[in-house]
Amino acid sequence: MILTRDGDTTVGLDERAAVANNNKADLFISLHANAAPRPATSGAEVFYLSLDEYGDAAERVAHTDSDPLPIFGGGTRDIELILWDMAQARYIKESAALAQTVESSLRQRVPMSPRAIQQAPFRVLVGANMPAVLVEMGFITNPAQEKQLQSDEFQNLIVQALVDSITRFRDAHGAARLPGSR
Amino acid sequence: MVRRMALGSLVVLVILALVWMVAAIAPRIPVRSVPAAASPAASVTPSGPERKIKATLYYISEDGLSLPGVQREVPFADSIAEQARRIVEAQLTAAPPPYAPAVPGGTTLRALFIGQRGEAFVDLAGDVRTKHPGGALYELFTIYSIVNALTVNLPAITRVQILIDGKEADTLAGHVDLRHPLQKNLKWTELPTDTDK
Repeated sequence: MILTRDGDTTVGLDERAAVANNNKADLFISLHANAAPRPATSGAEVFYLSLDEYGDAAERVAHTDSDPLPIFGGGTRDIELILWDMAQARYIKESAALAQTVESSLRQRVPMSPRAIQQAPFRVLVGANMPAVLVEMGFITNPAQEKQLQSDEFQNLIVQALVDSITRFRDAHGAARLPGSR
Repeated sequence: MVRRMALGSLVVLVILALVWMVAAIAPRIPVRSVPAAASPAASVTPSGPERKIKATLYYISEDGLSLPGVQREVPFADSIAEQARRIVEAQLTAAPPPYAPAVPGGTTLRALFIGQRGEAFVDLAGDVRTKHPGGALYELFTIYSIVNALTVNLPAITRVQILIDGKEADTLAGHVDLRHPLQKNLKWTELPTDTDK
């Protein structure tokens, strides 16, 4: 497991995906605290990328296979030429499955929002070259949830849910991110 | 004879001077924009001295979990760009009870222009960023209240790109990708049913 930050520092959105890509991570999970104008709004939500907003470019990337390129000494090697800007386009199905796994694990442990799983054009997800989800753990604008989010007990429940869902996803989709296995 | 020729020359000179004045001054006279080009989907109501349209604007529901459309009156304009500007300005005003505003109070519109392919570029003042409390759902509601208000009421507008302080922005508050124009998205207008999950 690699943390993009372990303190109160600002890390750019591209940099977060780059950390995962450069380390060839199997999964990318972005953890957030939510906010709403209504204090009563509460519950955890899980997002994965929506491609609708990216038009034809995303569609092309989603169906791009590796290209054989000549290598030094002769012969060719299959190289994946994918722009990081659109890397997530090839993992939407896996990310949807990961979102469902994370949601069901969270649901067993913490209160969920009526909008438990959603798709959205989130900037931090689009460059991740692996299955990726964004988890909003709760609403800091809800006083009771704000307290929960600060407690070790609630944080442990979130961690247990994530570990459980990662294990379950690995068992069900272990080879999902290997090229050609989709 | 000489007197007649001099008079004729004077008449010709006066005519030439008039032609020159018309040619030089006419381009500076303001031309009215083409009327009724907006063809708004919203209905026009001839109520009172100021014409208005009924437009669907988007606000946060009482439970904070959806972005329903609400019919409101917006001043009529005779061009798409001007009508779009008036719709966004109405969207930025206070929400009617019992709704909450999707855009932080005090947010102002710097400019709005329409591209050749039906994209609207909405340039908001930087206040929208500094006043926004963050959160994925709130940010989605802020962005899509503006995107939907334009695309639902003005079918000629197909996509909307939000700029901040005149510049292209990565995100408003860390979530929604603003680098591309966004299309209408009505899935936030009501809560999903069990079958949608």
